[in-house]
Amino acid sequence: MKKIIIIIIIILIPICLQLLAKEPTKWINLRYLNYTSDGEERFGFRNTYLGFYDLKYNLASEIGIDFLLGEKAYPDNYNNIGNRLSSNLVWSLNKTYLQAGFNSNYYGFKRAYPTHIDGLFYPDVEPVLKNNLTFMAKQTVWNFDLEGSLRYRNLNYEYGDPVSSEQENDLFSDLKINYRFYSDFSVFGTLYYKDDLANIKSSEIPPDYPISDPESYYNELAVGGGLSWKHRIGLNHGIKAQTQYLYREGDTLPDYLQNYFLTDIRYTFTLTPSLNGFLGYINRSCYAQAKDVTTAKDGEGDEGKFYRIANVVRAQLKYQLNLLDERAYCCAGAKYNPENKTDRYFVEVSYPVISRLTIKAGDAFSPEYYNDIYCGIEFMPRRLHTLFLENRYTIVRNDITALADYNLLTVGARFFF
Amino acid sequence: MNKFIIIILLLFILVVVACDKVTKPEFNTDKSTCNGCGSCIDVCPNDAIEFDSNGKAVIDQTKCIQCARCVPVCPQGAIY
Repeated sequence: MKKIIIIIIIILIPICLQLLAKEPTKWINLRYLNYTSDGEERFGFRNTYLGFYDLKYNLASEIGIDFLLGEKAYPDNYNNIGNRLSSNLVWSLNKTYLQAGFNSNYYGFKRAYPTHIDGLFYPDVEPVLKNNLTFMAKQTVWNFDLEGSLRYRNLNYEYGDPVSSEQENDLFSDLKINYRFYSDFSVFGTLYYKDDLANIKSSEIPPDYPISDPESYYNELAVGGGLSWKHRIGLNHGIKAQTQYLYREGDTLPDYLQNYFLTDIRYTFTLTPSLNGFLGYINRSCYAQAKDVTTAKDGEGDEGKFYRIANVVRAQLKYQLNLLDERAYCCAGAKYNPENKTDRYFVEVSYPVISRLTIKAGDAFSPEYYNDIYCGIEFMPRRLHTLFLENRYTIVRNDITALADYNLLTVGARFFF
Repeated sequence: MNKFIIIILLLFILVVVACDKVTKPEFNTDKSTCNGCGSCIDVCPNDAIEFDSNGKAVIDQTKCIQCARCVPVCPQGAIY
């Protein structure tokens, strides 16, 4: 009965919005999948719907539905049935922006792998339904930009034998104040607080449980501030940089991450009308005493110094093969991340062989994880409507996902109207 | 002024690259690259990834166990 009510609500929301909207815009993606799982061929269906509705009284709404149904767990998904629903209602006028949203993830069947929520008294749980309620407000006053958001999360899960149901709730709050003091510069302060809403009751915890204060074990506080700089060099080059200090506190966070630094630099360029790209760099580092960091060498102790957590360099170039047709391009990029070894290189080519028929091919290679070879063909019978056939073959280079090599053949259609 | 800032940024990169690294990794999402597909949320065995108010994936560091299962499923390579 509960499932039927959820399905009826999912169908009714877009119909109601359709009746209220002035000029709705919808995007539908239908896909039939043929994939290999555990060495056997499987079939599946995935339908994605996105609708944008311009309503009266400065209101706008968007709704998204992603429905998945497969014979067995989809290669990059632990569920063979899933439904994700998201909806936002936005009110904006001049320099004020208010947004209220809801998103939920329904798992029709239990996960092939149990979710282990670290620290919960019941170690292996299986999520059934996850809901998020979100609120966001933005306001510009003089040179100040204020932004605040709240997110209430509810997870329904099952555990044990015989099966019992339980819920877990969290509240996330974010606040940012930005002051533009020069045309290119601004200074900002941020506050983030996560309250796990006492999911674990002290009375339920056995005396030998390793957590001293379970009611606030998953709380996190991060407070800090930083500088951001935006600069254009002529018409074709731009650079954005931001550096931020955060003081972080939480029982589950290691002590050495208390004094945390985050720097993000992005350079974009257009070399010729056909050639553009970007170069990005992100650094995360911390300032800590050597004794708190497990890499401490002999003789090091109370002395404080900087440690790097992650550096990532990302570069991308896109060459437009035909300036009059955006479907004709060649794109290549690289990501270098020495600390966490998530390096990735990719190349992608798209070319319309005849006016309505486009071929695409690409390869994404990650030395630590996979080699993903992709090819596809797209036919546009009408403008903004596409029929496509694509095949993706993934060679797994690391058994971290517990997946074998797999092939994914997709036949689908995209409609935008 | 702007050249001075660019030199400072380059020096900063050189200094931090020379630092020692911590042994325990911390994974994060590059929000400018994330396309909000949600694949990382589906595979996370610790329920540590969610969408923020802007529809971008964020990792809850209080729950993340650095298993890296989210890294290969991200079509954008946004997790680092």
